[in-house]
Amino acid sequence: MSLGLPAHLASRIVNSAIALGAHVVATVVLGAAAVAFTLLWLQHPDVRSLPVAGAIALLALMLWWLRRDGSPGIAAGYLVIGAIATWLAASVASTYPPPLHPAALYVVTALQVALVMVGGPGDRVRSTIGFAVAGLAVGTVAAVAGRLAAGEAPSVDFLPLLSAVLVIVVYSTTALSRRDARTVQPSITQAAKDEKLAEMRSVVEARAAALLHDTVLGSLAAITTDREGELSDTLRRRIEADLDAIVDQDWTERTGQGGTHHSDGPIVDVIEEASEIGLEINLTGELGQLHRMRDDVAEALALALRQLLVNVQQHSGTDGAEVVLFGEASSVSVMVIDSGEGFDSQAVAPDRFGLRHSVQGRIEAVGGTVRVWSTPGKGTSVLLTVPSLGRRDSDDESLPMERTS
Amino acid sequence: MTDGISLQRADPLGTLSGRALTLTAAAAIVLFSLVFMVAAREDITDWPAAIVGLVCAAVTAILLVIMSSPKRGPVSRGWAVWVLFFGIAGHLASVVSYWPAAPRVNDWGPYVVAVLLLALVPYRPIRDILAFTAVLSVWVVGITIAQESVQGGAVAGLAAVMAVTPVLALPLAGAAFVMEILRSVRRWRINVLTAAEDEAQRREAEITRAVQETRVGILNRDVVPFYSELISRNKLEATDAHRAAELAGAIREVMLADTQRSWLDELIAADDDRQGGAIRTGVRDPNGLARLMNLNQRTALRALINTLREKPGGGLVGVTLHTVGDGCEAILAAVVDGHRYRIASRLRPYLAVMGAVFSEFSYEIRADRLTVRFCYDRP
Repeated sequence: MSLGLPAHLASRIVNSAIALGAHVVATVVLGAAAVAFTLLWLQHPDVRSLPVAGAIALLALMLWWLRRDGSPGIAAGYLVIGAIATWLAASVASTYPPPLHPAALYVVTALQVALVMVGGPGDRVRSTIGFAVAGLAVGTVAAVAGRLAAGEAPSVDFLPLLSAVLVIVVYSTTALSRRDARTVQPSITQAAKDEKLAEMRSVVEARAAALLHDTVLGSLAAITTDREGELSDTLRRRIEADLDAIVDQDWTERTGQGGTHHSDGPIVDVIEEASEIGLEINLTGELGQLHRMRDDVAEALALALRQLLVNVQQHSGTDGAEVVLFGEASSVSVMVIDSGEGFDSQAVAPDRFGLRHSVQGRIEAVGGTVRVWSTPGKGTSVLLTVPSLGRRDSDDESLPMERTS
Repeated sequence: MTDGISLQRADPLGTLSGRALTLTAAAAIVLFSLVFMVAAREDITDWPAAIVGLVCAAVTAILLVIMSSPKRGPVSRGWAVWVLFFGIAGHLASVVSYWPAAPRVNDWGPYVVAVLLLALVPYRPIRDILAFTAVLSVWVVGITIAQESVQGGAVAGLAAVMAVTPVLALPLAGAAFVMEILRSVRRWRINVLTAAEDEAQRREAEITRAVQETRVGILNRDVVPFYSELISRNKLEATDAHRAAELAGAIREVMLADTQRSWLDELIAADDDRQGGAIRTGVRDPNGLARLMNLNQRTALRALINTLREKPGGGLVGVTLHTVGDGCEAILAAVVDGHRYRIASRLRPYLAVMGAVFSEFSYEIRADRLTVRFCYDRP
C-alpha cells in the first residue's frame, strides 16, 4: 500500500507497538519461568519454593493489568512485584541441590528479563527506555540481594543486560530514524488525494462526453440524413433542446432530462419516447425491478437504454426491439435484443462513441457492467447490469465487451 | 485480516525508516557469534566447525543487508528461506564445534536464529513469520534434546525450554508489533481515502462546471452559430448536411483525443514538447496501459513524478509503457541534478513506496539520469 503512517501519528503508534512487543516477550519468558519451575518441582519438590510459583503467577497478572491499563503506577507496581518474585527465586535457588542450581537460576534470569520488558507507559521514548533500565536495575538488585540473603556469592548474568540493550536499541533507533523517510508521507498522501480528484474528473468527463454524444452528435447526425427544406418539428425541437443543454443548462444537475418522470421512472419514459419515434418495443420481464434502484442509477440506466434504442433505430436495419427487465439479489439487469444486422465489435471505429460513452461509460460510472453479444447478420443483444438498492458499490467491476460468432 | 501482507508492503516508508534496525541486527548476529565463540573458546572441540559457524553467521548477516536494500523490491519468501538456512547452518556448526558438550545458556545458535526471525518480521507476512518460527522452534528443540541426550541434563527438558524461549519470544513480539502497526495503517488509510473521497464529492460541482466550460467553449465557437442559423432560417439547405458532418467529425476528434489521454498524460503533458538530452519526455503509451494501474500504483508513481518535477520549470520526465506477456512494464526516465548520493537519499522514500506497490522493480542513477523500471498486472 502506498499510504503508510504519517510522522505525527507514527511516533505514538510505533512506541505503543514496541511496548506490545515487549509485553509479548515478557509473557513468553514468564511462561518459560513457569515451565522451568515446574520441571524443577518435578525433580525436587520443596514447599519452600512454592512462593516463587505464586510470585510468577502474580507477576503474570500484573503484566495483564499493565497491558490493559499502562499507567506509570501499574508499571511501577509491576516492577515492585517483579522485584519481590526475583528476590524470592534467587533466595530459594540455594535450597536446591548443586546440580539443579543452574536450572533454579534460570528462573531468576527469566524474571529479570520480564522486568526489563516492562514496556514503559506513555509514548515518550525517554520514559520507556527509563522504565526498561529501571527494570534491569530493580531485577539485578533483587537477584543480588536474594543470593546474598541465601549466603551465596552473586554471579554476572548477561541475559537481562542483553535484553535491556535490545530494548534501548529498538526504541532509540526507531526514534532516530522515524524523522527520515516518513517526512515524505504528506506528499504521498497528497498524491492519493489528487488521484481521487483525477478519478472524479474522469467520471465527470465521461458523463459530459455521454451527454455530448446524446445531444449534439445525435442532432448533427440527424441533420446529415434529413431531407432539404423546412426543418421538421422533431429536428427543430432537438436542436433547441441542444442549444438549451449547451448554453443554458447547468451540467451539475445530474437529472439533465428535465420534466416529470413516468410513475415507473425514467426507463419507462425512454421506452415511450422510443415508441413515439417509430420503434416497436416489446417490454417484458419483472417491471417491479424498476423501483429497486437509486435515482442516479435509474437515470444512468435510462440514458444508456435510450442510446441503445437509438442505435437499434439508426444502425440495426430493423424497427423493433425486445427489452427484458430482471433482477437478482444485488443487481438489476436490462437486456436489449434486436434481430437486425448486428456488427463486428472489433471493427467499430475508435471515434464511434455511442456504446463506449453513452452506454458503457455511464453504466460503469454507477458501478454497473455492460456485455455485448453481436454477430453480423444475426442481431445484437446488450445486457446492462447495475447495482440494486442496498448493495455496496464495488471498486472495480468492469466487464469486457464480448462478441459471439 | 492482517496476516496476508507484509509491513514492507503496507507501510514501505515505515519499513525504510526501520531499516537501521535490520542493519543493527545483522551486526549483532556477527558480534554475538564472535564474542560468544571467543568467550567459550576453551570448550571448542572442533575449530573448523566453529569457523564454519562464524562464516555462516556472517553470510546470513550479509544476506539480511542485501535483501533489505531499498534498491530491491519487497523481500521474497525465497530470500527469507536462504537467510534462515544460513542461520540454521551456523547453529548446527556451533553445536558440532562444542560436541559433545551439554547445551549451555550462552550457546549463540538459538539467539542468532531468534534475532534473524525478528529481523525478517517487517519483510514477510505474519503467517510466514509464524510458520518459520514454528519450524525453527522444532529445529532448536530437536538439536538441544540431541545435545542433552549425549551428556544428560540435571533437569530433563530444561535446556530445550531455555533454548527455545528466545526463538519464540522475539518473533512473536515482532509479529505482535507488526499486527498493531498494520491495524493502525489500515485505519489511517481508510480515514485518508474517505476524506479524499469526500473532498472529491464536494468538488464534483466545481469540476463539472470546469468540464462544462471547456466543452461549451468548443461548442459555442462552432455548433451554436450553426444551430442558431438553422433555427432562424428554419430550413435545411444542401450545404448543411456537409457542415453538420464536418462539425460532428471535429467533435469526435476532440472526444477521441480526450478518450485516449490518460491520467499520466495529464500529469506530465507539460513535457511533451521539451527534450531532455538522452531522455524522451512525455508519455508513450500506445495501448493505454496507464489506466490499468490501481490506486496505490497511481499514487506512488504520481508522488515520484511530482518530486522529480519539483524544481523550477519542472524536471524532465519520460515514461514508456508496453505489454510484457500478460502484464505491463513501464520505464521511467528523468533528468536529475546534483550528487548521486544526495539524489538517491532524496528519492529513496518514493522509490521504496514504488517498490512496495509494483513488481519487478529496479532503479539506477547514472550521471544526471534516473531510470526506474517496474511491472504490474493487467486486471
